[in-house]
Amino acid sequence: MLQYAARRIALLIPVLIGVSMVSFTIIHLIPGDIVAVLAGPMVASDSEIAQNIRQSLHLDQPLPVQYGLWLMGVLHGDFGNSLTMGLPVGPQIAQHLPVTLALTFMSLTFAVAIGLPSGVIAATTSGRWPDTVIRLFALLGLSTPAFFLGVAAVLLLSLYLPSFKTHATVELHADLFGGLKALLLPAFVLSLAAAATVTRYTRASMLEVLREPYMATARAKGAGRVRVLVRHGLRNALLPVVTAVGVTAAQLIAGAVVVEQVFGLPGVGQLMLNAIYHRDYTQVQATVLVVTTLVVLINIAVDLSYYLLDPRIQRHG
Amino acid sequence: MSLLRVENLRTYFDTRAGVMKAVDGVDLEVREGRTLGIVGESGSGKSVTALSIMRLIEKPGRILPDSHIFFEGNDLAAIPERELESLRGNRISMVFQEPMTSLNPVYTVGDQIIEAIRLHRRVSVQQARDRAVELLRLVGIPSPERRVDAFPHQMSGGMRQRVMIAMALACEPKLLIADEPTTALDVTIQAQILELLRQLRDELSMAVVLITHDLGVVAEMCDDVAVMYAGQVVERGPVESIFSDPQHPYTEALLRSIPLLGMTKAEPLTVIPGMVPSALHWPTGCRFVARCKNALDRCHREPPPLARSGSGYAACWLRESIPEGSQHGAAHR
Repeated sequence: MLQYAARRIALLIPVLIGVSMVSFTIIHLIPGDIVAVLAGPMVASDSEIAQNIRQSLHLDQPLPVQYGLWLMGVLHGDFGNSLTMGLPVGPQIAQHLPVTLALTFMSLTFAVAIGLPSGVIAATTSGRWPDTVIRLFALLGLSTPAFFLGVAAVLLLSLYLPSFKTHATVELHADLFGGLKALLLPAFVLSLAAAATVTRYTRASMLEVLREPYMATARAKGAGRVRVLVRHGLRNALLPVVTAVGVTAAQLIAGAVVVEQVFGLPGVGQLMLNAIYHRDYTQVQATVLVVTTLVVLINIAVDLSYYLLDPRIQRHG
Repeated sequence: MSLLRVENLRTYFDTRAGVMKAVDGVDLEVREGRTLGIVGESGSGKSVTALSIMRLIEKPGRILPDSHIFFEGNDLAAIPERELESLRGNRISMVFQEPMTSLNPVYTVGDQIIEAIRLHRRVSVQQARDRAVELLRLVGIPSPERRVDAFPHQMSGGMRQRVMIAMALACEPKLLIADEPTTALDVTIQAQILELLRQLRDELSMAVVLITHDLGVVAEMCDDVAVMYAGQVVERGPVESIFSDPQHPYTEALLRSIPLLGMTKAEPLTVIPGMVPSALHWPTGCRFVARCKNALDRCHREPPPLARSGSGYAACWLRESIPEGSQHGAAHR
C-alpha cells in the first residue's frame, strides 16, 4: 500500500508540469497585458517605459524561454514575485490557503453528514414519500448554482436576521474559532450541491446492496434493522460513494472560488481571480499549482481509502 | 413432540400485476431433533415458507394475520420484531442457497461468526473468537486458527457454505432451516455438505428443515417430508411411507420422474405434463387439476383439504376417506 502511495505521489510531478504548461499558455493567450496594468492606461504599449518593464520581466523573450525561466525558479523553490504587488508569491498563498482549506473541508463534512443519512433513508423508503421528498431536494440542490444560493442567503439573512453577520472577517491564525464560525454559512452554501451528489450516489449504491443475500444473512443472525443497514449495508455501499466524494471534493475547491467571492473571503480563489484580472501570471501559475496539487492529493486519498474499505483489493497492487 | 407447527401460513406479495399468493395455506410440523424435507418445483413456495418461518419477508410481502407459526410455545407470526430478533440466529438459524454471496465481503469470516455469537451471548470478543475457531473446526475447515481471519473471497463455495453452517450453529439452535444449501455447489461438494449437516444434526440433536427439489436428498436425509405444490402442502408424512405409497398424484408423478440407476432407454423418464399455475391466479378447485390424469368433476370445483390419508396427510379428492364438504376432517363416511 505504501509503495502504491509513493508511486501515485511520484506521478504528481508530470501532472503538475502538464498543468503549469497549460495554464501558462492560456494566461498568455488571452488578451490583456501585465505591462498595461503596471504602466497605467496612459502609456503607449510601444513606449520606452513599457519596453523596460517588458525587458525586466523577460516578457520580450519567446514563450518557451519564459516558461523555462519560470520552471527553473520553481525548481529552486522560488515561485517569483507577484507582478502587481511585488511581493513573493509563496507567503501570499500560505496566508490564503487555510481559509480555502477550511471552507472546503467544512463543506465536505456537511455534504457527507447530510448526504449519507438522506441517501440511506431514501434507499430504504424507496418509492414512498420520504424517498420522493429527498430526491426532490437532491435535484433542487444539484441544479441550484452556489453563487445564486450564496447571494440569496446573504440577502435574505441581512433582511430578516440582521443580527446574523453574513460577512465576518476571517482571520484563522488570529481567531481560529471565530474564523471557523464565520465560515459556517459559506461552507453550508457550498456544500448543498455536493450533498445532493452524495445523496444520489448513496441511494443508488444502497439500493443495490439492499438486494444482496448477505443482508438477509445478517437479519437471519438476529441483527436489528439499523445494525444491518449500517454495519452490513452502508459499509458495502460506501465504495462507490467514496469515489463520488473524491470527485465532489475537487469540484468543491473550484466552487470555493465563487463562494469566496460572494462572501468576500480571503481565500486562494480570491487570490487567483485577482491575479487573472491583472494578468499577474506568476501569481496565477503558483495558485494553479497549489490547487492542482490539492485535487491530485484528494484523488490519491480516495484511491488509498479503497484499501481500507474493500479487503478484496488488499492483496494485490 | 413437535418443535415447530405451522398452521394456515399465508404469505402474499402485493405486486403491480396483483396479489401474488406465493404461500397460500401451508400446514406443517417439525418434530424435535428430526428432519423435515420440503420438496417441490421452483415457484411452489418452498423458500417463501422458510423465510416466513423466520419472518424475514420484506415488503411488498406480508404474512396474513390468521397464519400461525408455533415454535417453543411462541407464535412467531404474532410476537414483536424485538423478540423475534432474539430468537433468530439463537433458537432458529438459517443457511441460504447462495454461499458465494451470503457472506458479507468486507468482513472476515471470523468477524461474521463472532457477530452471530455476540448478538445473543454476553461473551468477550476473545471468547467469541475462540468459539468461532472451534465452530470452524466443527464444520471441517482445515487450519481454522488461520482461516478465521480469512475473507470470504479467499474461500471456495464449499468452504463458504461450511462457514455459513458454522455461523448458523454459533448459538446451538434447536432448529436449522437450510434453504437448498447444496444447489449452488459441485456434486462432490454437495455430498460433503449434506453429510456434514447430517452429522451435526445428530451431534447437536437439533431439528432441521431441509428445502430441496431433490427427492434423492430427501430419501437420504429426512425423517418426514412435505410436498409443496402451488403454494400449498399437498402431502406430508414419514419419508418411507410417502416413498413407498404416495397418496397424492403429484407426489406419485414426482417420484416417477427421478432417474434411477440401472434404467434403460426403453423406460423413458416420466415428465409431468403442463405447467405450475400462476401465483396470481390459482385455480378455484384443486391446483393440480390441470395436470392430473384422474381428475374428477369435483376437483375442478372444490379445493381438497389436507386430510389424514395412509400414514400421513394428503390433499386429494381421489382418496376415498374424505367426505364431501369436510374441512381438515378425518371423519369417515
